[in-house]
Amino acid sequence: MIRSALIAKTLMWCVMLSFIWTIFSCEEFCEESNRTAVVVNFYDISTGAAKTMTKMSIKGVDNDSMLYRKVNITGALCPLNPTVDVTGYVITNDSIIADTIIISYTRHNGFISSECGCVTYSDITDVKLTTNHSIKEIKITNPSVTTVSYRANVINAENIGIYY
Amino acid sequence: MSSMRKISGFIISLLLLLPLCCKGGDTVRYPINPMKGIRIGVDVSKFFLPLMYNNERMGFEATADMHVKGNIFATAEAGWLRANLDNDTAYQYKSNGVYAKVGIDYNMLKSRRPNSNDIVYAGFRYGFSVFGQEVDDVTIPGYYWPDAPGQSISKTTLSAHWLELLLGIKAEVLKNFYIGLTCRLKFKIVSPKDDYSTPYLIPGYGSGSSNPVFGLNYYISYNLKF
Repeated sequence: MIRSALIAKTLMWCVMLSFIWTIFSCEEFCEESNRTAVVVNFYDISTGAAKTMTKMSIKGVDNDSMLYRKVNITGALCPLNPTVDVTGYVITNDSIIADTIIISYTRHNGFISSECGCVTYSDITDVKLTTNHSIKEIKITNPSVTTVSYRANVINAENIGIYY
Repeated sequence: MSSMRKISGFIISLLLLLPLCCKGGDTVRYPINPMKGIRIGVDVSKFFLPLMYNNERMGFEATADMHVKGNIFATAEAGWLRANLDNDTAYQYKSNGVYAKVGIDYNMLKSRRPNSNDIVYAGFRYGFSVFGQEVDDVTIPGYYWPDAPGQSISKTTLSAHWLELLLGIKAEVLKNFYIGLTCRLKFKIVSPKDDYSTPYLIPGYGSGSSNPVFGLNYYISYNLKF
């Protein structure tokens, strides 16, 4: 009687052990975004409404590659340089005259998860418009730069509004 | 999705334990022996942590319980847990901390033999943990910009509070020696406060990013009588 109870218990022990093994051996991968970027939206200064930029190109200052070269966009995701506290972008609409914006920020590193690793969050302290050929004004709507989604159907919370 | 898996895991464990406490029949049932003294033990599953997690985790947990009255036992658990995640290319994460849990177990078993010390129980716990974490050798991917190597996240001390619902058994396999197991569903009530980082592990609780969390313990205990 006692022996059979013991066997039953041992069996259950084994079942549970294999059960825990299956729970923990599931392969994990990074399911959340681990990329941060400044969320920029474009507006019309006279109406305040969102402005569709017909032919837009955005390039980082001191960066040889182009970040954006797109038609008909109302916003852009501009990553900040994680090695320094200042990032510049040259923004050109309709290939006419380029404007340069300089974003200053403080950086804070954070750990997301074992799969997604670490990320640098930033707090925008200042945005300077060095030229105002076509850009009229820049407004910081939310200084805290956090992880963003690059999926097409996701609307990220705005950091900066650029007014034309 | 993963919390669904944990809840279903808890329910399956519950169903596995069910036949032990609720088997019908016409056999005579006896109430359990009132246990004398204190039962102390260790969670043997903690010894297998380095094996199960590629030396990424190490821990120890001790448990103690006492018979209060009737079917009620007062229980406490305490332990420490260390995690060391080494991702050569991206970061090196370290955490180290202690935890304690106190609560009540309620025995649901009426034994088929007299003078049985075996119990099948449901219980709850209040859990508390204090731990430190730091990340070194961090390389932040720059994507459009150059990567930022040689970064770190300085050490922070964090705390967390949670509640647990649990089911378990303790069986006396040799005189005064018990084996036991518990399955637990843990609900975080106060999360660690860190503006930028999510803890990888909260000692005694589990994954810092999940709520609720499902957990299992395997105990070997000895009843000290006095």
